[in-house]
This record gives sequence, C-alpha cells and structure tokens, in this order.
Amino acid sequence: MNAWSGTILRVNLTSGAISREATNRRDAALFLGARGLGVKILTDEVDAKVDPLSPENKLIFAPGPFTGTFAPSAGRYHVVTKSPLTGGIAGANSGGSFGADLHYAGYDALILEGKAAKPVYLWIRDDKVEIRDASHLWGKWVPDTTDALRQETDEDAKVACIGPAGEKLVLFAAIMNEMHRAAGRGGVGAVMGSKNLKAVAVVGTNGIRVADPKAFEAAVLKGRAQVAANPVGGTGLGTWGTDVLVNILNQIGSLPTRNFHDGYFPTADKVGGESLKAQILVRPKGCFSCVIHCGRVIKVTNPKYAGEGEGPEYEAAWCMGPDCGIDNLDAIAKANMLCNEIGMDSITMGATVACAMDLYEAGLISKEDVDGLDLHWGNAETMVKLTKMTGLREGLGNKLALGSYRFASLYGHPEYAMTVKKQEMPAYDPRGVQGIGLEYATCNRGGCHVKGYTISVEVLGQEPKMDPRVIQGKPAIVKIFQDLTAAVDAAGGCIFGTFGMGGDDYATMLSALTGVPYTAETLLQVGERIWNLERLFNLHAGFTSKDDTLPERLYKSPIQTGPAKGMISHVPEMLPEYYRLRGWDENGVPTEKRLEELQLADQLVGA
Amino acid sequence: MEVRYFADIRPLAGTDEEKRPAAPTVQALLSALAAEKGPAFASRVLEGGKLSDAIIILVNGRHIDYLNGVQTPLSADDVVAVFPMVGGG
Amino acid sequence: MAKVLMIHPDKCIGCRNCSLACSFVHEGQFRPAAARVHVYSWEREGFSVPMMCQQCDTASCVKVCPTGAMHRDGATLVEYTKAKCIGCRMCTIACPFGNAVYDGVTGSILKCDTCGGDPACVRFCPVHALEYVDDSISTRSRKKAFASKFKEAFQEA
Repeated sequence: MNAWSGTILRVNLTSGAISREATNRRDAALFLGARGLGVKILTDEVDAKVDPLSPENKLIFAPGPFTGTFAPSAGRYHVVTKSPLTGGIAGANSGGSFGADLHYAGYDALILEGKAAKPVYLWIRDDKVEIRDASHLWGKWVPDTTDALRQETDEDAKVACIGPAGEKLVLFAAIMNEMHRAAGRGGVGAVMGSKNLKAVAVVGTNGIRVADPKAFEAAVLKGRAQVAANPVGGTGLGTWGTDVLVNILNQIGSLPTRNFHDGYFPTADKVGGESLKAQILVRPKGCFSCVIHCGRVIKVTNPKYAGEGEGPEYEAAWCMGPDCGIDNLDAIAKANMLCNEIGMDSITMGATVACAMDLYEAGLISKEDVDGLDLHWGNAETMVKLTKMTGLREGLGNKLALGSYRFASLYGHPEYAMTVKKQEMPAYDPRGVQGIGLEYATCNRGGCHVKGYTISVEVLGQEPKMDPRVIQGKPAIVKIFQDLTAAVDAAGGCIFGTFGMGGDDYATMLSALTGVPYTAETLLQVGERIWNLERLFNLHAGFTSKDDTLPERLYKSPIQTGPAKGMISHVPEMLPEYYRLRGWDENGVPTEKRLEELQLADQLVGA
Repeated sequence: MEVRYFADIRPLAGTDEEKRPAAPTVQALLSALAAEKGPAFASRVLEGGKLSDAIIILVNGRHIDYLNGVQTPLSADDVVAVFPMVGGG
Repeated sequence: MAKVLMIHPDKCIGCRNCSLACSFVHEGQFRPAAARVHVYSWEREGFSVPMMCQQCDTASCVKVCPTGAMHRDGATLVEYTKAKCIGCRMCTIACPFGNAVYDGVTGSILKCDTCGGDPACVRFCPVHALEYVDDSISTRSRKKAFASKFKEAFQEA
C-alpha cells in the first residue's frame, strides 16, 4: 500500500492483549488518517455517553499519510478520544517526531483500550510491541520520563508521555512528545493517565512508499516554493514565532485582557514576539519535515524564573500574560515551561488562573479560599506558583485542575469562565473579530481557534481579506476554514502550511503520494465529512445548539478601551446561516440529505 | 500623530514608535517616511512607490482596506501602525 | 575545483528534511533509518546536528576494508562498491564518527555518496545548514575543525 502502512495496532491495557488489524481502505480514502481516521474509529467503537475517564473510553494515536514523508511541514499526529474537560470529542494535534516514527513502525493508528492494573508504558519497535512496567516512572516529569525511557528502550526512541498532571487527572492534562511538543487540549493526557499508561515509546525503521515519486517530489518542491514566498510561512513565523501576534491583536484592540474584561493591554509589547526574540530566544526549531521552523528554543536567565525549554506560543504568552493582566515575559516563559514539563494545556492553564483572578478581584472568592495567595491582576509570581500547584494538584491547584468552568461553578459563578463547551477560548477577542467568535462557538472540541483560523483573513491580511468587524460572509468562511483544516489535519499536515499552500496543492501532493485521486473539492469534502462525524458524536454525547454560543459577557459587556471599544459579539446572528450552509436543521443537527452526500448515511442508523 | 512600528520594521525605522506632525493621507505619510528613513525602509514598505502587499497599515486600529486605503486621511490625533505580514495560531 | 559537503550545526532546526531527501533519492521511498545522513537532537538544549560521511583524506574505513569495497581513487569521495562488500562491518567500527552504517534490510553499508555531485540533502535543507561548496583550503579546514569537535563529543567511553 502506498502512504498508509495498512495496519492498525490495538492494545487492550486491561487484558494485555496486543493485536493488529488491516486498515480499512475505504475509511483511509474517505477519512485519510490522523484526525480523520481517529474520529472514525472513535465514533465506531465508543459510546458517546461513556465516562471519559473510565476504561470504556479509548485513546487513539494516529499519524497521517503525509507523516514521515517530506511533504512540507506535514509531520504531525493526532490524539483522538472523548474529552474529560468538555464531555465531547477531543482531537489534539502535535508535531515533533513521534508521529513519523509511529508511521515508520508500520501503523496508521494505535488504539488503546481498557485500563492497566498498575502503571505501564508501551514500547513499540516496528512489529515488536511490549507492555512494560512503569511504576518506577510514575511521578516523573516529562523530561526525566523521556530520558529514562530512552535508556530502557532505545536512545533514538521517540517518546509520547504524560507528566504528573496526566497521572493526577488534571482535566486539561496534555500528552507531550520530544519533551516540548504537546497534544495539548481537551485533557487527552488525563485519559492516558486514567488508563495507567505513562508513555508510548516508539522506534520505526520501515519505509513509506510513494505511488508516483516524480509527481510527489515536483508537488512538494512547488509547495515549498509557495510557502517560502509567503511572508508569513516564508519568513514571518520562522523569524518571530507565533508570539509575534501579540502586537497586531493589541493594535486592533482585540487582545482579550483580564479575563475578557477588555480588549487592549497597554504594555502588551513586553510579552510579544519582538521582546521574545530580543530577550530569551536561543534559536528557532522545526518539527518533522518542517520548512517554517516557528518553534522557539529559549533560555531564561532571570534567577527567579530561570530555565531552558521552548515557547511561549502566542496563546500561552496571552493567557499567562494580558489575560491575567501580566506583562512579565520571564514569568510567562517559566509558567509555559512548567506546563510542558508537568504536561498541561497552557491555554486552559493560563485562562483558568485569569478566571480565578477575576473571581478574586470581584470578591467572590476569599483569601482563605486561595491559600492566602494574592490573586490580584498582574501578579506574575502567583500565576507561576499556581501553574505548578495545578499540575501537581496541590492546595488551590487541586481545584484549578478542573478548568475554569468547573472552578467558577464551585463558587456559584460559572459566568466568570470564558469558555465554550467548558473549554477556554483563546487569544482573539470575538467582540472585535466576529468570525473567530463563530469558530469558538461551533468548534466541535469547544473554545478553540485553530480548527477554523479565520484570523488569517480577518486580521493577518491573507486572501480573501475580510473586515474583522462585519458578520457578512463570516459563516461561509468559517465553514471553509473548518473543513480545510480538518482535511489538512487528517493528512498529517501542520496548518501553518496553509500560509502558502492551498487545497489544490494539498490535493496534488496527496494524490501523488497515495495514488488516490484527490481534488481540492474532494479534499474539502473529506474535511466536511470529519466535521459532521465529530458533530454527531457530540450530539449523541448530549450537546445541543444551545451549546453553540459564547459566554454572556461577550454579548452584554462591550470592550472597554482601545480601538474596538464599544464592540460586542454577534455570534447568535451568524449561527442560522452557518447551520444552513452546513446542511444542518435549525437545531444544528446534520440532515439526512447532507449525511448521504458525505457518504455518512450509515450514521443515520440508530440516530 | 503617533506612528508605531513592529517586527522587522522597527530596526528599519530606527525606532519602535514616534510622534510626527500629521500627514494629509496614509500615502503621503509613507512617501515622507520612505524619503526620511532611507532605502532599506523604503524597499520594505513600498513597491514602485505604492504600498507593498506584504505590509499591513492600521489607522486607529482599523486596517486601511476598510477605510480609504492609502488615501485614508490622517489627523493629529491619529495612531498609525505599520506591520509586516506576520503569522500565528 | 572539487566540492565538499559543509555542515552548519548552528543553523540546524532538527526538521530531518535532509534524511528524508536522502532516503527518497536513494530508495524512492521514505525510510530515514536507511538515510546516509542522520540528525541527532538534544531536546533539553534544543540543539540538532546532521551527520554524514566526511570523505576523509586518510579514511579509516578504507584502511580496514579487506576487499577494497571501500576505496578512494584519488577523487574527493570515499566510494563504496557493494559488489565487493562481504558485510564484515569493519568499516562501521573503524569510522571515528560512526558515519558508516550497516543496513540489515539491503545488506549494504550506507554512507554518503554526495548523490553524484548534486546532494539532495543540500537541496532540501530549508535553512542552508548543509552546503555543497568548493573544497578550498579555508572551507576544508573549517569543516575538519567542526568534525574533530564532534569526534570529541561522540568519543565512546
């Protein structure tokens, strides 16, 4: 088989049974791999009403057909499961090198079922698969776990693991690979911890075959040239990292400030990409097959927050910075490194601290409630302390480990949580940028920007340029971005490749690689198919159209200062058109007609 | 009028931000800046005398595409921001 | 003037496009385990280095090869002739840098052959951490200086 390995690895942690099955060719063609294949397997095998932290949930790791080839910036893998944070589908995407080795080892997906009786890790060397004791690793942080596992398995092994946060079931615990890369959001690390699975270590030495090598090489070279010529993909991201976004979002007045009380933060420049590059950057870094190298290797020398690691990305700098009223880059970098080392989603972490600060400032939680800590806006030291405490579930951290929605609910004020479907929204104020608000409200994994990143066209000047303040045309563009992203995710691509490559380019590469003839149109259909399957899972899990909305604050409290002063979000006005374009009824349920068009008619049975 | 520069425009402009007397339009401001700041700045921000496709100009936080493009008039209380196209996620 | 493959580790981003290109060009598939260039990464320091045959003037692998499969005909390259190879793997032991590798799948020694003068790794490196440059006195001595640093770094205990 070209591109795909043709094999799915299934490991039952309860019984210890390890088995292999052939990858369903029809599924591969219709869903590609990574996010697509993962979602297909999850929806086929897991009851959407299952308790996410129970042995009945399944954890799926899947590379895409591109992963391990030199398709530009396309070396990713996806982790798919039911989220303990949102109660809906979780799909977390990560770079690094793990996905490539999993593909070389010979697997299109790794399905983890059940729960081990005591801590274990999985060691995969091509077709040799072992479940090994991990009791001596339980409690170790991510870097030490990685090093220890390499000693025990192979010095070149790629390791995906959880830190204490996943072990202790922090609801937004992440799975980390190559120490600093994260399958970050939705609590996928907690699911791993609930299975007593500490890590997956893999070495893969097989090859990935190409249907038409000449055509593939030509398409790759063309794609690379286009990315290189794009100002964002070519030099912008590689020079500055994603943190360069701080200033442009602030200058348009849509940098959410102090838990979304405002949209403008006067000292934002201190934590932006320019400051990062000048003060703490050591060198750029790229993931497997990447040509963009947006990764930041950093070193903080300030003794209070000293450390070496990677990041912060824009989202982390924002949520641990302006969202908390903080402008201390060293502290932000430290807190982000702690998230990597302990294994947590940095976005939910920072935004949860911001929520706690908001409740504290409003007098809704007392000094006793917060272990005597000072949770005033801007307290960087507290933010760093709370990050560590949350990962280790100590003191107040034990409650913050629930995420901002459940935390705020403990005190009777869930409206202080800036979440959608209980996952914290990221770093773009939907009052100043209308389209991204619709993405937040409708994303299948909850408050998320990256699965429908309309910021590219609403703020960053990519074509087709759109005015961030208007709602016209936004439902259509949100759908296109969501569908294209799902397809790129499923192929194993990093979404930053779209700064230069479009649907046509991906389709040409994919066709030459797989031998299956894709076009831009059929690729978008793959994405739409995945989107609808995720939607159905969520509906079966109990979500309704009432959940496709933003916190009241964003409709009732306008931005207070800055260029977008006075603006609110108009998501409810955009929702009906979005449903219509998606081929859903007025309750946001996919119609029979649309499901049949997407070859998802089998999903109608038992609906 | 305040003019703010970002990313690699900063070293080319020789500053992060500065106060200037108002220029009549964005185009007039860009031409004046190009003349003052030298060829490195000029070639980054302009292409054949016109605004480069790889540059984003905001006036009071609004992209000039949604105002009057380079003919957008400027006044003494305006804030102009000059960005190269940057990225993110 | 002959050319030489220069490594600039300070520019390496750890993307492995070099290994992918090498494997693709030599085998028509992606199997970096069998590439002639291998990238080593240290995650804590965020440092990566690509390593390949240094085409030594006085090559240890040539010296120990019993059949002349590893040979140097006065040209810039240390060449490998598979037909003469008996698979003894003495060259993999002799190479001070570990740049000769035995591939169990094909039963051959893998070592850089500069792709017949147009190294794929150089073409595919997105940051020019690999260059194919004139073998002048200045580039060769710099290359050797780097190589010997790695020799210290990778000295087996």
